[in-house]
Parts: sequence; structure tokens; C-alpha cells
Amino acid sequence: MRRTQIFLSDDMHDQLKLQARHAGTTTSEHIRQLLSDALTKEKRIQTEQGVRTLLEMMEDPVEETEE
Amino acid sequence: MTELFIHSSAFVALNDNHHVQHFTASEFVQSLLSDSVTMFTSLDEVVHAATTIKNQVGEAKEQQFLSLVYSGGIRLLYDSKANLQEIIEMYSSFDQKDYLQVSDVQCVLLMKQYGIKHVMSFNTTINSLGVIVVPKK
Repeated sequence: MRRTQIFLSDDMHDQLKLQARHAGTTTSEHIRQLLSDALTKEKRIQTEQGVRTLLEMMEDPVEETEE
Repeated sequence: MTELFIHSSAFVALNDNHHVQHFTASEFVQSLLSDSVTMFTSLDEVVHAATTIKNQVGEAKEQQFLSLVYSGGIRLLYDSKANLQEIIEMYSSFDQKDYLQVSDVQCVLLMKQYGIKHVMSFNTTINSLGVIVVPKK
């Protein structure tokens, strides 16, 4: 693991601390879990977008109709 | 595999219904949904593929291809630090130039620059340039 330092708003810090207490974990571990979930979700979205783009390439082009 | 570079040969296989690897390409892309893979390509590969698609399938398909790439599902790597000297050196050291294009060498150098190890390609000679070609045969 690497040590890093970031600035949080007071409100954000308080929320994270409270959530961590409710989850029975430390604030650090809680932040790591939130970031891990967010990164996984982002990666998932990127995969789906990429796959969708490639699959759409196999479809026939939509012909423009004149009105 | 967390990052995948899409080679122009893969774009062509997907876009051309009559391509000998079309079904293989389609099956492989669908299998990616179960992974978490970010897809990349380069502007050079897009241009190369678009030209081939226009010649082999037609202009409508080429336009659709370009629009889909532009939509952003696949990340474009524009900036290559791979310089011409590196490309020439790698290309010159390769014996089977009949099958290898200079653009393939440029593509592999770009992958190395961004730390991407896997490439979706149907050009098997890329294999010998130190990257992992998928789908595996």
C-alpha cells in the first residue's frame, strides 16, 4: 500500500467517519472500500461501452430516408 | 487482461460480415462482457481500418464505423512518443516483412508506451513483436 494525502471538506470527513463507525471499520478502510467500489463500477461501465461499440459495428448501417 | 488494444484487422473482421474471422471476432467481443476490460486503439488504426472497410464493405459501413469510434466507447490513443527511428529499427529487425506492416510496428510501440499487453488482432505476425494476441487460436 502507498500512503497519500488528500483534503476533504468537513462535511465529507464527518460523513465518512460516521459511516465507518456504523460499518464497524476504520475510516481509512471505509474510504478504501468506497474507492474500490467506485473504480470497479467505472471499469465495468468502460467495458460495457467498449463491447457495445464493437457489437454495434456488426449491425447493418441505418439508411437515411429522404422525406 | 484489463486493457485491450484493438488492431485494425479486428475492426475489419467485425465490420465485414463476410470476413473469415467475423464469427470468431463476434464471439470474442461478447466474451469480454464477463471481464473488466478497457478498450483502446489508435487514430492510425482507425484510419487504416476505415479505409479497408470502405474498400471491402462500402462507404455506409465506413461512416457507421467512424461514428461508433467517435462515440467514445473505445479510448483513442493519439499521442505516440514512439518515434520514426524506433519504428524503423524494429521494422528492419523483422524478417517476415511480407506479412508485417510498418503500422503494426507503430501500433506495438504505442501499446508498450501505455503498458498495454493484449491486442485483439487477426494479424498473427504481431505475436512475434512481444505482445499477446487475442483471441487465441
